Amino acid sequence: MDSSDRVDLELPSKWMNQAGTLGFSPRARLLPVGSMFVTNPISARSRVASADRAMLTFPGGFLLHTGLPNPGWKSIRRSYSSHWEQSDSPVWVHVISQDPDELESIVRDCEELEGVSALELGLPPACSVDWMRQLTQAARGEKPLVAHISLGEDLRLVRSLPGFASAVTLGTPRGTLTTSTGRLVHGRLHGPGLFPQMLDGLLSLRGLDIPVILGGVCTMDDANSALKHGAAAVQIDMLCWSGDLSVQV
Amino acid sequence: MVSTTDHPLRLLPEAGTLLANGGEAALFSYSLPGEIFPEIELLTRDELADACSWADCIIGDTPIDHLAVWKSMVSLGDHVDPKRDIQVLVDTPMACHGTAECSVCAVKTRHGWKNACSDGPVFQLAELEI
Repeated sequence: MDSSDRVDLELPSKWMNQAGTLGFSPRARLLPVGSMFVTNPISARSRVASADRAMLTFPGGFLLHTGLPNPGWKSIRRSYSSHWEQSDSPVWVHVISQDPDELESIVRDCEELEGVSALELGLPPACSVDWMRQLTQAARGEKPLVAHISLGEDLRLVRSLPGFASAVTLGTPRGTLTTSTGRLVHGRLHGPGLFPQMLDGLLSLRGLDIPVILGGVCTMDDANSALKHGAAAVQIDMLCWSGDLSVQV
Repeated sequence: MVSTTDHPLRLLPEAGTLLANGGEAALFSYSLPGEIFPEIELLTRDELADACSWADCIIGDTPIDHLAVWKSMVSLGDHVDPKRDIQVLVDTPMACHGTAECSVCAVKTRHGWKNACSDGPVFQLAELEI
């Protein structure tokens, strides 16, 4: 990777939430003081909830399928940019647009926004190297670019990231479960039962010359283990929802 | 009261208020609670439609997947008179309880999508798009 054009990523804390766990505003203050804040996934245009949205449990966690509803970038910018400006936490905007032109437009907008310290680009499922390069090129800007890839995707993609990528986050995998009526539901997996696989994924990315941030962390022990074994920071998963995180950290 | 969940007990406080104010209450439920005010009339499935036609107010609960069935049980046709007070507690998973706006509990209404965790979980039936 040619790193000459890389924008250095500042990590003032080893703690942040995983995209999708705390909404769009850092005001809820559910994270430890000084943590970074990652927004919910944001698309260029509004998305509504999926018709087959579901939450299904399994031993060790749960599957969540929502369709990543959000009111779209322009509406979110209008509603939350002041929150981001006034936030004590550096804000990472998590974008999921798959249209390079729209993505580039969001990136340009973010460059104007105080408080936004980085962009986290969610790579789509089964993303090819060529497609990843188009998306990352479109997301390239003056702020650090963090590529987000889910465990279960081809992690060789990470080693093909362009040199200007500042960091990579490894998110929890997708999976499939059946409802009580036998309907198949695909969605994102969450929960402490995933950690052995997450740690394995982290170890497989050893040797990268950019920081690797591990998502899906649900316990303090897992966080410490991830940090000890090479994670530059951790993204806290559903632990954010328990409300007692500040006590634990 | 019309319950199609396993938790009809959560409807009873409302009935208690009604009874204390001199009203009358009746319950149809797939799952009968162990303890119930003796003043509450228990309805059979055959009696439900008639009771729904004269009730001043209908409250109930249903899993989100069965909203259409619940509606057909209480509204006596496809059209819901917006002047009738018919309130339904939508039973749906709530993953983040509002902290993430994850919308797994989203309900489609005449005013757009609403999250049951923050905007409900009780909605006027006439407001819902089912």
